[in-house]
Amino acid sequence: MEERNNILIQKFHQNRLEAAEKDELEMKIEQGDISLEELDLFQDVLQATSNDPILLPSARMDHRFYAHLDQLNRKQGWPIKLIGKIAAAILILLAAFLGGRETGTRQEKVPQLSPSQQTLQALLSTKDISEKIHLVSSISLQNDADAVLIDALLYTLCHDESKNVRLACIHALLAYSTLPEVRTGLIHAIQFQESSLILLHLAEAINTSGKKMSKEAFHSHINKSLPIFVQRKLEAVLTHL
Amino acid sequence: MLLIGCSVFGQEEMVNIPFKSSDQAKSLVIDLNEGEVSIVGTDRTDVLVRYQSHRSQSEGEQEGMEEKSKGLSKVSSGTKKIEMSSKENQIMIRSDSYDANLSFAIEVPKTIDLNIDIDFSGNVSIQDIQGNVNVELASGDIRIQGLNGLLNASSDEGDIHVQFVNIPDPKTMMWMTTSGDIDVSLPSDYSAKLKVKADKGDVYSDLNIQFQEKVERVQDTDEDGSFRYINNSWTYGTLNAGGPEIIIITKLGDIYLRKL
Repeated sequence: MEERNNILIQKFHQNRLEAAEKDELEMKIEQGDISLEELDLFQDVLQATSNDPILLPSARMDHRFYAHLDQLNRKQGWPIKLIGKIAAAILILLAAFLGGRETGTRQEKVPQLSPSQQTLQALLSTKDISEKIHLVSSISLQNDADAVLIDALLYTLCHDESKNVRLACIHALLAYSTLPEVRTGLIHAIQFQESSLILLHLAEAINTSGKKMSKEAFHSHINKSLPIFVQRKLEAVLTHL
Repeated sequence: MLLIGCSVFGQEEMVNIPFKSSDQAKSLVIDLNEGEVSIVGTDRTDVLVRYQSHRSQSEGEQEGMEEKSKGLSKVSSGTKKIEMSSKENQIMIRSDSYDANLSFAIEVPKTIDLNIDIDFSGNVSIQDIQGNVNVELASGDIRIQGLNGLLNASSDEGDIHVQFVNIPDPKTMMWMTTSGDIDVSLPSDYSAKLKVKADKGDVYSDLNIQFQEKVERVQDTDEDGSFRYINNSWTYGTLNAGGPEIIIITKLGDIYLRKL
């Protein structure tokens, strides 16, 4: 359903909605399946790149985007709205970037991405762990680190394959740990962790946010299917808090 | 791709894996549940993997086994699936075996990036590598000699010992452990910003570091009126002129930062 919603939102902003689709979109907004905030997000990103002609994604990009979105949709427990935002941001930024490259010979103007957008784009596109850790750490040093960057850090903390990248995310998020959405995101991230080292650092980061979280409350969020040796080790390390 | 189901009881197996291109950047990824890994940078252009399982038995166990198997010949001993593959100049070695006695001795070209992940237990030693190294262990020591590149390393339980010879492209690095020491030798002229924390240990150094203890205090009153105060102490330092950040954390061990 989320995939369908994104198609409708995209078509809405590209004035490609057919009558039946327009009715469908309105009904989804009425029913709360699509929020106005989601529409605005797309609008903001589109406006940010409005100086350049909006290029429709190629069939290959479409396929990759929906494959990626489908993969994200299958991740358990992650807020679907955020997935949509991140996926949309990737698509639009990628479109702007590639569009700029493709039209570079015809136009002198290239898309100007803000430092935040550049960092996000680099973070999402690199597979190099050293580079990722460097980028993640640099986010906490940026004065203009915005909600999208913080969302990207929280997403990376939950889903990156590398334990070291996840640890770097926790330390980057420490700079923002007093923000309610960061604290909520840190607590949400507990269930995705299988490393006692990460869980220990996560518990510390949550404590640093200044709000009390008991050991029992922390345990209630931990993935119950963790291997027994991880659970035992976790018991041991949490005593060091 | 090589898929190897092997009996490796005490017997060393050897596999050569070539890279697709000698000109492009090379990388080696190792993903194990358990095992010892030793990697040495050499002048060779391919990767040579030697592996075996040294199953150790106590004298009593040995005698019991000999009694049970009297008159029989051993035909197989513990089959382990080890997968080795090569794609786009990245060689991957993967095993889902839980065998702490499984060991890999690997020779690689000197110029290579390494990414090692051992989920349960095992030590890693690395020597003479020019490239970036990432090591993630659950329980084990990390020992690296002659590293010419970046290192990111973590171990839930274990020491981290590293001797850098050079860091040609300085970027953020991170070394973390819960219950081990972190002992690092850096070139004396290397510049970095340090963020260091040894919760129950000490920090020692002979490098040119301007240290500054910074205490982050958080004070809060909950809805129920209970008062909460957190004293979170970090040691910040500027090594020489300062530069990319190095984050060093151990919960129970000491930190040693040495001049090379």
